[in-house]
Amino acid sequence: MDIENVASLARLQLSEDEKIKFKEQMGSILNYFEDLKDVNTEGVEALVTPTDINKDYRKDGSVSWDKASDALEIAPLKKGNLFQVPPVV
Amino acid sequence: MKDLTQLTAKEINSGIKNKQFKASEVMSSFLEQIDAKDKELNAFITLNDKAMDLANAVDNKIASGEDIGALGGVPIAIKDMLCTEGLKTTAGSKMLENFIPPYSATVVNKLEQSGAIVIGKCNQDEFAMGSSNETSYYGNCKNPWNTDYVPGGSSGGSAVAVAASMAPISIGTDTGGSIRQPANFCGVVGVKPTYGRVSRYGIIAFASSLDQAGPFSKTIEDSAMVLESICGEDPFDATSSANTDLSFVSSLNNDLKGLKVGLPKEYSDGEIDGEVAAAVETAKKQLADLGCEFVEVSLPYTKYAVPIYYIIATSEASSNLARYDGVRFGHRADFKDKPAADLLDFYSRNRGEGFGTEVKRRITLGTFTLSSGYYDAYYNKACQVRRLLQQNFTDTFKQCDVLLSPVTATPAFKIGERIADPITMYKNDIFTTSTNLAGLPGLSLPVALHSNGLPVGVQLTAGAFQESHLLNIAHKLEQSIGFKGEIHS
Repeated sequence: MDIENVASLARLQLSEDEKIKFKEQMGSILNYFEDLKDVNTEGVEALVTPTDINKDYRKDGSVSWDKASDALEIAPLKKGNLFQVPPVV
Repeated sequence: MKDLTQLTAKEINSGIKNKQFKASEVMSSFLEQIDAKDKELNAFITLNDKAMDLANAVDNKIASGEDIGALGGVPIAIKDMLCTEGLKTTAGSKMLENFIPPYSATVVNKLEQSGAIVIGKCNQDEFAMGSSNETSYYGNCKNPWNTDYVPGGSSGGSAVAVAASMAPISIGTDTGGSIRQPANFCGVVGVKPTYGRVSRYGIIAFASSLDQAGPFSKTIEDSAMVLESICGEDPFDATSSANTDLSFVSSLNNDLKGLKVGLPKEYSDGEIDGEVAAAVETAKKQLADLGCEFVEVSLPYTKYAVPIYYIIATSEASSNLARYDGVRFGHRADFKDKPAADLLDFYSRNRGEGFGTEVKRRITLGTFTLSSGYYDAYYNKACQVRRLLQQNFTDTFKQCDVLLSPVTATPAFKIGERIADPITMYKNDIFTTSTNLAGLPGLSLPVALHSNGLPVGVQLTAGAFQESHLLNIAHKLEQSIGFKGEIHS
């Protein structure tokens, strides 16, 4: 596994130690997954959720929410009614 | 007066209703117990400073003759995975160290509507990723039977809170065994409901197709009461079920005569501790005396359960945890001295600092198994085998009403013993993950004490939405086994 590429896809900074350790561990974990290759799954539909999903879509409308100020309160940084981020360019 | 912390939720509720004692006396007894025990056990991350006021409000309702509800005045500990409005919710992570949710999970709302009072938020593995509570940012939680041992995980704090009588009941979440395994390690009852029984709204998402919340308690009856409160359809969770068979308490004493108990062949293979196997035999004998019949069943695909589980759970986690970017909430790195090179660097540093090692390992793995060129070989393949596994269970429940098996191959292990080796830790979930993959209800019931002094339980698993059967069988078995979960320390 190309750890640096995967970590970049995951937007995840890893330390040098983590990169070395993960590379080794991922090898044995993926090896452990190899057993699945023995199973014949030709024509089997993938099961992505175990029970039927409620297909009644809710009405596409707006609902008012009065906790916006509480949500802003937990922002790492804010300015007025806005979430603030440092310059990133 | 009797020690109120030794009472069940049912006894507490009826004692308050009958004016034998007050809700405020109950609450202060449990808070004193937490004060005495939790410095060592570390089961709580945050206590609810409004708990005493809420107990007083219940006493006022009693004084004015109002109904207090089925769980009225009962303190309940909640895993820190469930959002509680105005009360810090960390998921056991540094990422959410300062997160105060502006809303509560549906489960919490429902419990409060039944009159229960949130006493505090429980320690857990970070984002529920772990089987020993050792991945928590807030320190290890310890097993009250022997503090050198893990309490299990990921809902370790919720199990310990009940085992050490710091709360009569608690809530955990179970994605691959995270309620049943710590219940087993701590000698309490733990129930994972059918997928869809309990709304996931407001529960911090780990693996959405597997996560379910459920109760811990000292008795099956208490768990049945909690389940009647928390189950049901929720417009905020499209996967919640409209199934209205919620007669859990009233079914508890049904006769078991002629019920068929399946014994999965594959669950007795491998390296199972002799006394764990003996606990299963004890349960089998008691069930036979109660009139149950036995049938050997085979679930050949369960041998693939752990690899299927770790592919699906990590894939879903890598997607669910993408929301933690440090913009609107959660941990943000310090960019004053070293500005972000670009947007990618901003996200990566926030996430790299906010997440612990096990979470990073699983996000990395899940990102890989979903990535272009590997999706079919890993994620899609795992979902295909998942269907075969589910079909295995559907066929098996045509032959029997419930399955009896161990919960784990051994009792609790020592702190530090398995944390360095992810695969050994992952294999710990060998008997529990299949239940989540197939979406079934399951529970852990304490049976005996191991010669090493730690509790050992058994697992019962039923068909989808068959909780009434499951709890009925477990209740009768509990009565005939008569396990006393009293910790002498």
